[in-house]
Amino acid sequence: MVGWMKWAAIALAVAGLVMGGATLGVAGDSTVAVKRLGPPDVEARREALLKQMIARPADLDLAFEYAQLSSQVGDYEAAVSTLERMLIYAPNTARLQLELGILYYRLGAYEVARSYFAQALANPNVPPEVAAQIRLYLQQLALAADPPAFSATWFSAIRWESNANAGPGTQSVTLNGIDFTLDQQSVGRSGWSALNIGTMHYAWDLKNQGDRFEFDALFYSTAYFDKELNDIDLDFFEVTLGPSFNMKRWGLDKTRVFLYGIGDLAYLGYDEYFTAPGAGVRLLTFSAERSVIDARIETRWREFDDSKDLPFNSDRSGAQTRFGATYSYYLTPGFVVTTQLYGQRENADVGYWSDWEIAFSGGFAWTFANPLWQARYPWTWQVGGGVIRRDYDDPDPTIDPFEAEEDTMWWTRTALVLPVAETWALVPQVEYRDQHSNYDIRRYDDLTTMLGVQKRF
Amino acid sequence: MVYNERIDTSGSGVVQVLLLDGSTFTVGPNSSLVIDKFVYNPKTGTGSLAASFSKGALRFVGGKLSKNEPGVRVNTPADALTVRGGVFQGIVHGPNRALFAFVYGKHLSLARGGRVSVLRTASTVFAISGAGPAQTRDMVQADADLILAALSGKKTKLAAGKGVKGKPWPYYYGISPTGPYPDQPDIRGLYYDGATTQILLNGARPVPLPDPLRPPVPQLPPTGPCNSITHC
Repeated sequence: MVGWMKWAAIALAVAGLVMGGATLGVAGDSTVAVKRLGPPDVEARREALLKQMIARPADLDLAFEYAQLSSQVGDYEAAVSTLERMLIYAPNTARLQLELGILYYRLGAYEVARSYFAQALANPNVPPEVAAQIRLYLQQLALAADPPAFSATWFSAIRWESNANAGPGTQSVTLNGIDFTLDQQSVGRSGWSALNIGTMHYAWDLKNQGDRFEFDALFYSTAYFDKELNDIDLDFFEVTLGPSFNMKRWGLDKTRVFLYGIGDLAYLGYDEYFTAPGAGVRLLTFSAERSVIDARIETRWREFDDSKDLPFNSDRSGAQTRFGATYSYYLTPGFVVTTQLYGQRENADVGYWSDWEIAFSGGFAWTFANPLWQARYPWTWQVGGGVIRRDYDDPDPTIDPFEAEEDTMWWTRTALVLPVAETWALVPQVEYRDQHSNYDIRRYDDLTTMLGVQKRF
Repeated sequence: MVYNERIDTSGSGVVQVLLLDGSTFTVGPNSSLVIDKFVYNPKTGTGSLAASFSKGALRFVGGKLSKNEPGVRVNTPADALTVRGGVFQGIVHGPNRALFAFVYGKHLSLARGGRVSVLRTASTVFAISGAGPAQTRDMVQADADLILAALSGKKTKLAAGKGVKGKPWPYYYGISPTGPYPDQPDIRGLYYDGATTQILLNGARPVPLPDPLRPPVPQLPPTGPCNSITHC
């Protein structure tokens, strides 16, 4: 074949790859150009193709079919080496670089995958649909690859709530069948507060096939500006510590299991509110291409302390166990939907503080280019909402001796993450909660607005 | 059967050697590879493969022979590598300057200076900079970029090509791949590679995706531990 004819044939073969949309590595997306064969036929065909490729290494049709069949049977190494050879004949072809990146991603070789994705994106002729696919994989890589050993965040916000103390909206309530008028202090009260939240994460690599020892700390603090609400200023600390195991040793790729001890300490109105040692198990997996599953079971043995304002607080002491899962799915590189379901059992010393709780929520996060001006960092808009149902074991004798409390809370929240620098963001947020209850005194609704600043380390 | 088959590449040539068991050697520019011995019985899938790689950039993807013991042996000036299953890649500049990355498979071992070091976890490397034993560490993104650039015949501004006096090779500007707190080459590397800076500007940079249920701020559940004096 004359020189220019050879290059024309290569270009046509690669164009056939592109136009056929034959994506070797993406199950569910691929338009399979090769007729599906049964397993013994596939192996026989691959053997035959290998011999032919050795005789005619420049024949891209043979190479393409071999790569397709190899990917079909899970021999990604054979597909990788074939595509690398095709890239020698058609250098700097974005589609081939994409396919190689995907195959290396499937092998778990994230750094090599990222290198090919970067090369493809740097290609001035990269087709838009290929670029979009690459961005999806880069997003996945950001999650699937090991996170940095140390990370931390700090969030400070000013918050206004229409009902800071979650009190009923009206002074008139019914307790034990009798109408009461609550004092002003017990009725829902609006208030401004300062909110500060810090998180820290550190992971020690145990140098044992990807196992780690993980430490996490959370600090949460609210402080109301209204002196009348200082009794509900809350300071909460939580640490978790324990090993995490790479499940690849048991054939579960991109999956990690965490075992950890928990320690909680809470102060309410600057008096000790509760302490709680605990333990948990968590499963985090990215095994499906665009999905993340985060499931956990946690138990805390909460010891509540009596105080001047809460002389019977210790009646709430007992074990709290929560089990739940969060599922996230990336529809596009910048759009993720999330759903969460959890169940919780709280045991307390008294039956009217013991309850079952079940909750369901869902939402999305959409990342998009700054619509107002040409900016370096995209914005993210999040929306979420859900329902929490709580059923207590026994009636509360001070409120109703016959009926146990049943609460249903509906909530919805929206926030914008507006990066102003690489690690700084402004975060305005609005949330609304509405709790229905068979106990008058537990009915309330609360609108919260806040404006915060987040810093990531 | 193949004995002593030599492949030398020019300043711009990239070559792939495809063997009957499905193994491939992809060799970058200015490289030198010798297939010392390749014996293969396609009926039984057994045989042996040994090669020598004296300089340049190489990627080996294993076929049937690498999946059986004792694996495939590749001699280099920095001593002998043995790979079992899978994929490895590397750069050789001399007996005391080489980088070998274990990409995928059962293990990659290096026999150097009378001792044998073994990598069993993917995305780890042997980094040889000096006459002593090889350093074993995790692969950083800059390693993968450096090797791919060498295989493709491209240059990268990320690494000091000839090394920096007093620093181990490879030396990546602005990041240190060793030590207890390795830098994050994803971020630092972006500033040295024009292509990936473009990715950043086009919004493909990984943004830590916030949880719509707990937007960037870890929140206690909406009920909180206590929001009311009357309901605690």
